[in-house]
Amino acid sequence: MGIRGFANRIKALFTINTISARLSLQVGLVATLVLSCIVFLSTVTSFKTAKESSIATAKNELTLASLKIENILSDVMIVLDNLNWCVIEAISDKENSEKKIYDLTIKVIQNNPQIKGCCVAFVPNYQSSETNYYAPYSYRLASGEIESKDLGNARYDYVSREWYTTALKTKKPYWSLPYFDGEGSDEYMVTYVDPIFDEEGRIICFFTADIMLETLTSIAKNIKPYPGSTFFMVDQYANYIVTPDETLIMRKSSMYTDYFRSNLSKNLITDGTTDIEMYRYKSNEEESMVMFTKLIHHSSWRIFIFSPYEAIFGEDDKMLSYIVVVSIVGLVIMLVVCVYRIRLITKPITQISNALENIAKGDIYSPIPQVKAQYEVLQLRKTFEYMQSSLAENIKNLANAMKEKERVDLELSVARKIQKGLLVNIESQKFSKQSLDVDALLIPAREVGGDLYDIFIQNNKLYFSVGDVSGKGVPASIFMAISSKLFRFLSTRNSSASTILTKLNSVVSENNAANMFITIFVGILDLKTKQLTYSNAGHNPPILISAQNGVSKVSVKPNIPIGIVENYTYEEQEILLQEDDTLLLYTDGLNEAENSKNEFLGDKRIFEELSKHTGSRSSQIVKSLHQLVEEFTQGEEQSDDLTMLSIKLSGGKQEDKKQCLKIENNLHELEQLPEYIQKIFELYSLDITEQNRVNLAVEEALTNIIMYAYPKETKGDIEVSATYEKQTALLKIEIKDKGKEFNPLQKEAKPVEVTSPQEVSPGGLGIFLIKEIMNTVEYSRISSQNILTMSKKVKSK
Amino acid sequence: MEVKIETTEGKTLLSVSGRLDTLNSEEFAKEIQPIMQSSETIVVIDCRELEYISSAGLRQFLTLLKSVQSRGGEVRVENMNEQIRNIFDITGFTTLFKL
Repeated sequence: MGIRGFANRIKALFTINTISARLSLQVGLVATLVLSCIVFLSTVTSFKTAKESSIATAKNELTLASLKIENILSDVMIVLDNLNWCVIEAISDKENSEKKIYDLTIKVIQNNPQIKGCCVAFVPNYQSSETNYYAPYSYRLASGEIESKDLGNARYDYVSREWYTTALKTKKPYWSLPYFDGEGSDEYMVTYVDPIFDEEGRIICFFTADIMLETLTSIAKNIKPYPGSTFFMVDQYANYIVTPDETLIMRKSSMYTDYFRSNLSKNLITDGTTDIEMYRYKSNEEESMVMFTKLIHHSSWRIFIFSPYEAIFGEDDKMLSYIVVVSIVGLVIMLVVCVYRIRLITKPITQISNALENIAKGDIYSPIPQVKAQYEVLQLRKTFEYMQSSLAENIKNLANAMKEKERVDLELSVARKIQKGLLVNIESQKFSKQSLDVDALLIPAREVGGDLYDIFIQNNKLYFSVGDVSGKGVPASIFMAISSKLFRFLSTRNSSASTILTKLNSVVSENNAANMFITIFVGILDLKTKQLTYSNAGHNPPILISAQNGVSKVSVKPNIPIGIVENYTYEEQEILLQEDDTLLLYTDGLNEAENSKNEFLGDKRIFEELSKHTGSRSSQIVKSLHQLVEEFTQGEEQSDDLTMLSIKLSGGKQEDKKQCLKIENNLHELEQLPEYIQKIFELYSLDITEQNRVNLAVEEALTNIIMYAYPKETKGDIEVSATYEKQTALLKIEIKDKGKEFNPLQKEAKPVEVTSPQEVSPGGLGIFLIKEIMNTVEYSRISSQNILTMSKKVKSK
Repeated sequence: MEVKIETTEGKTLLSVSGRLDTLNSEEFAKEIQPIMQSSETIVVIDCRELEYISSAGLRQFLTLLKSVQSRGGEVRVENMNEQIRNIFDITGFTTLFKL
């Protein structure tokens, strides 16, 4: 795996949109948090404790040292204090005073090994006004013997000594500054000076005791709480009393001044239980140092312990870093293990998911891989595999069902064609030749239906029927086929409506295991007499539309539907029809057409619509009723087969009636033209894209005729008539006028010339337009009439 | 039939809507008198709303064209629908108006 692969792996590890990454992150975060808290708290507490114990050593040593020193000092002080009375007594004994004083000093030295010298130094002008130096002094020799002498007689100017002057000034017992005793011991000494007062409070003399500085420094030598630490004692003038470097004794100590300098940070011991102070600072060599310090009671001395920070807290710091490092390492390990384990679970899930994706894309048999997984995930895989196999099974079944359905659909569409073929082709019958205007519509609810109609002319009689087989779909269609053929057979051989139905019924009722029945209306119209004989078998009565009497239902005797009772005799009835009457037969697919609210179309709405069409042609009636049904049902599934048969008796032997427009020879009359042209186009359902052009042609023709056909100031009539022949799709318009002989076509018609607009003659343009728009334009003069005929091929819907 | 005339920055916009036939061609002639008598050199006839035109209407357009051309201007006809365009084509008005 190359660098990029590795990098990608790492990247994948950190993408947050996987369970493994998220979970690992969350677990890691929580663990880190918890661990950090624990580590932090325990470290802080143990660190504090460790620190305390580290410092404790120093504190203890310091306390011990100060106690020792204080002991030494106080021992001496107690001795002298207790012997004060001896001095006074000795002084008062005038005779023996000298001896007594000397004895006293000797005794002091004898009884106190640590006292090296003892002196009673008199204030010179105490006894008399004479300057009288008198200081009896005894001291121990190196051999151990004790010698005495008078310091006042020696070159020893004790009056100017520091210990003398200070004590004199302060009038208080006082430990002197260390000094070098060249006389006796070649050692550094420290002297306790105890002033003796008389009754008046004046100082008589100073009772002094000397000890070797050595006794104090020896304590210091043992004080080493930490490696590299040093012990110092310093006097109130910042001179070294005890120091590891003996050359520094009595030199000024920088530390003492440091102590008071503001450079030092705050005292780090803040618990108030001790007067030991602790400071942290950086040495001149930039080393981190810690200073402990304490004041010695009885004297104004101060002891210090200096130690490198490292020596005291080094171990603690190390311990802390160990803890931190171990914690971090532990965390990282935990995270890694966590991620790994989690990925171990999510990896198989991803694998399964990928396999499922393939299945979803269409490869149903795409195998779900065996995955390294346990428990729930393994179960998941099993379940998916099971689902896959059942899915594949279902799809196979579905595919088979689809194939089967296709086969059935194909057969049904063939059946539909056959059924359609059973029905009469209205147009081919040329009913118009018999002055009959017939139109029919049959729309099955499914691919095939149970409605039927028939209409044909035989022996100058019009035979027609409309029927409805119970049910719809394939079962009804089989019956429909039988009945349809049967009806034709019977009606071509029988001229009585009742006979036809009676015979039809007896055939159908036989072998009618499924108990199918048919409702049917049969009518026979004598074309000469216009007498209609009819018989009904349970069917809805037809509607009669007449110009005079409006819309009504034909009164029928219902009888019973065909196929129910064998041997039933059907009764027939008669009515006389008028010219222009329309008979509308239909099935209940019309009046029982349902809308979304489950309401039926109903007779009321049908009658309303038909009353608008009392003069309309059959095609118009059928079309408008169909439209009515469509609008009413509004996209609802067709509930039943819809059938309509409209038969109109059109008067005379005329062809399609002409539509006429009569106007006077006045340009204003042209206002009526657009409406007339519109009516024509609607009547014949012509292609409206041609309407404006036809209008234009007629307008131009009429304009010419209005302007030129009749002499000025003469009123005259112009008649426009239009007919449309469906077969040839030819719209023929005739314009007749009784004016003077005038052929508008004679005028030269030419388009506009490009070069000279001035040369366009006004009238010529109109004629040109007529000729361009209409297919043929002809003029003829017959019986004092100008007849302009123009025709155009126009498509009809 | 409605006529609207707008003059902006030396261009006259003539909008005709409805039917322009023999009956109202006189009225149209009256309506466009201001243009006929002005000295505008750019006239645009917007036929977007024009539904129908007869030879009488065409003649009016022609008169307008002659008048504007005589003062050195031009007439443009725009937004004709298919049928109007067809009429213009077969009568040669298309070429006349340089469309």
